[in-house]
Amino acid sequence: MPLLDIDKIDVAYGDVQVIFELSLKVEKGEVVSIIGGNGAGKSTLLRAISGLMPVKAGSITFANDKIDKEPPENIVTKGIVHVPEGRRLFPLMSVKDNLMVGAFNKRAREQAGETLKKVYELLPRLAERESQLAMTLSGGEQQMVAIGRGLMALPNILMLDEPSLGLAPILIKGIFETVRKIADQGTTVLMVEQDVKHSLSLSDRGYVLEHGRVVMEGKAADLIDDPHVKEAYLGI
Amino acid sequence: MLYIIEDTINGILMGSIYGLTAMGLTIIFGVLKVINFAHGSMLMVGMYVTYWAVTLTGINPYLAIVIVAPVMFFFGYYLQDIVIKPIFIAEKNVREPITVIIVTTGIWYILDNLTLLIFGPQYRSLADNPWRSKMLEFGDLFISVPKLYGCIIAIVTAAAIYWFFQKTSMGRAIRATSMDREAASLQGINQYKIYNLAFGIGSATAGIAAVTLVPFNNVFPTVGVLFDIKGFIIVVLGGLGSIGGALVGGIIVGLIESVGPQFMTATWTEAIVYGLFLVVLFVKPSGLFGQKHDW
Repeated sequence: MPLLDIDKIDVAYGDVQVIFELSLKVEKGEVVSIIGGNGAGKSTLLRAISGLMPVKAGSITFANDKIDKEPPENIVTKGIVHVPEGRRLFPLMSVKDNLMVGAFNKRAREQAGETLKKVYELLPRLAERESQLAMTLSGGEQQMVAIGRGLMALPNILMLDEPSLGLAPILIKGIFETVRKIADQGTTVLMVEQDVKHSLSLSDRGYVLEHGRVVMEGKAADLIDDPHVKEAYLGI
Repeated sequence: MLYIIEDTINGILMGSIYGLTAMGLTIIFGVLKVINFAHGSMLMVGMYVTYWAVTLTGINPYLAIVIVAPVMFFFGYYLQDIVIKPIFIAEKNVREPITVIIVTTGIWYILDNLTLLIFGPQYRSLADNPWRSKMLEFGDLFISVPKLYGCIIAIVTAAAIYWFFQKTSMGRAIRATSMDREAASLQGINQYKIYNLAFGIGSATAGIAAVTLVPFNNVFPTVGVLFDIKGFIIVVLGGLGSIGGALVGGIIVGLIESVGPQFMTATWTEAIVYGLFLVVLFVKPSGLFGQKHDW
């Protein structure tokens, strides 16, 4: 039984359907990448999992628990934590307050102090910037806060939506190293990325999305060598 | 000269009470992004609750806070939960839900007229009330005692709310929701529960303001309107959403109203208040202490 089991879901913005009969599985402890171009439905998929978008048909099951009708706050409490595209920090709050808000759910709140220490160990830069307002940070630091805030919720699955978006190459490397460390510490990661090379090289498996459908899936190492992936996403 | 000092002091005292009446407005706007046109009516309801609490039980009108604040908290909490929340849910995808403003206007009319129907139009004031015209005398200087108490309560209330928002987990959740409600829901925060809470806190603040007003102000069904318009001006002056800003905005209005008549006909002070309001809107639309957070 996979940890997260998505079975033939349809998702639409009003009349415009974006995701068609999409199925996807994530096993415990895996790092899974979802790759695809703009408008393929990658972010929409994560938004549907975290309850921000209604699922029109099909089902999403997490740890034997049907979650496709639950509001986002309940899904967080169950352990699926979504770090949204564009980071979406709380700009006028300090770095520490941003992190503490991440631990709002009942499960995480009691351990917030210990989790904060662990997050500071993983991302020491945040400890230095603790009392600074989030809006004054650089893009890379903001992404670290966003990931740290996600970790504060004690995720079983951490969903990252384009963590490398808008960052300089040297920072991108750092972010992916952090993601790898998080996975190595036992958190399951589901990641949406446009930086196909980096994300596949640290993933166990990958899915390729095109026009709201899964067109390819398999081991990350196989996908990276696939001629279609090479041509369409790696530009080789 | 002495008059000016006296007027300055009384202006600051009355102004901080104005600030307290507007504080709930700024809290509710800060979180729900909606101007609550029923705020004056909630203040009026608070004044009636205070009046009856004192009249029926005979307790000290300032001690009535322990009754009025919780009653008004639940009043606001359930008003939002039952009447306003359904509109929010229906308008889920709208960034600034205008219909909610219309609903609060409806609540204003309903509350005012319901009060008129139940309690009649007469002006009520506390029977044998020793505070009404009590003065502290420093030589030739007179300071109104109920206004002094009001000022102290206003400052303590502002400090307590500020502390709650900065230092508690629920306060942080409220601030987070005010900045980005979708991102807040991804942290496990139920947006509508936060709205209920913010409305409850705003309403409780109106209740506390009502307690400070009743000892020297008459209670009648349309009393809220007097403070409504002033409240809007104050929160714009101080910056929508800023608690300290409401206090400072209130004091500015109080000072103009109280010191102004020394130099000009009293009716002109109102023109100055509105003039200042316009100048702030032109020069610094986010108000004196308002922070822009759209990046």
